[in-house]
Amino acid sequence: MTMVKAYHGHEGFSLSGNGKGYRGVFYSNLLCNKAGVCLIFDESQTGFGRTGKRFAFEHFGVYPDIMVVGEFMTGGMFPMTAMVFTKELKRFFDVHPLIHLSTFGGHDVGCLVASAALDEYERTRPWENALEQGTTIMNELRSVMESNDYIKSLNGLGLLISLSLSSSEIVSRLGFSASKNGILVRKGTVDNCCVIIRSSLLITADEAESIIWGIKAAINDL
Amino acid sequence: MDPKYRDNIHHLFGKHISKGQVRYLRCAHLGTLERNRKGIRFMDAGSGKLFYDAFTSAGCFNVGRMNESVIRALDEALDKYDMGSEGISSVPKFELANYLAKLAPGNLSHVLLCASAGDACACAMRLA
Repeated sequence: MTMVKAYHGHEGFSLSGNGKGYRGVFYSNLLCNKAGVCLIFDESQTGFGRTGKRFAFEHFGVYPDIMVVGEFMTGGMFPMTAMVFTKELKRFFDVHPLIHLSTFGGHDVGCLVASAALDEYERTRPWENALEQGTTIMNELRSVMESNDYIKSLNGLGLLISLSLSSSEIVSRLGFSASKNGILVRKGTVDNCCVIIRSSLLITADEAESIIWGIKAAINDL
Repeated sequence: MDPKYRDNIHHLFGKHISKGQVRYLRCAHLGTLERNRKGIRFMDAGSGKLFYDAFTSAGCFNVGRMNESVIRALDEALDKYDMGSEGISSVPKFELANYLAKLAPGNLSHVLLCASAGDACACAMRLA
């Protein structure tokens, strides 16, 4: 079994930007097929548009045997997720139904909320906006990156953006300054030298401009 | 909000949930207390200041905070449904599974509904 998180938001997006990630995912798929093992894509952060496509694995042109769909499925209004898998795996599940039980898993209220949220995803197609606004934010931040020694790299795709800084302390200072400017950003929990910028996918151009201003001002305050 | 009230909330959060988390939130300047939320913004209950949410709780708020159509669906659902019996079929379960299977690319055609991403990942690893 191989489990892949297409983009590591808390690790400075190590898979994106330099092409190694694409090859890595592609070869993972080849190796899984060769060895006859399952490929799982965890789309709990990236599903339904975060990276500019409906699912992040669509960037790689490979398809998993199992996909994990995260909490975004209910638009932040109900705790519900899902796992989507192939017919072949369903046969195994039919024979071994007790491998997983979840009392709240198929909550009827949650199902109706999730269906409404999926309607909203299909209506707004937020992956298109995520790609456009994310590219704008990345380009603007790249313009200040060259003149600032604290910034080591800028990675991301769509509206999943990571700014790697020279130390955890500098990240805290940036977070504090951004907070003063009215922007809530988060320090990476695995790589605490990076700042995660991950807004709603329906952000407008004006709202993106405000975030850019707030982050740029925070960078200048370092 | 009185700063003492906010400090007391943090104290009780630390006492009954996690002191480490309170320390982390303060160090990472995430010590805000979310109150009103709408679209991409929320208000800090302590200062009354409006924040742009560029955190979105790991992407849970992809379609904005307090999305009206999602709230409407929740409101209507609560008039007619409770959680339903585990393992027993229902129309909402069937319709959501059908919807997800249609949207999923490739050969992904079967659905297991779970309560959290950890729940779904645990099952995925067992199934694999």
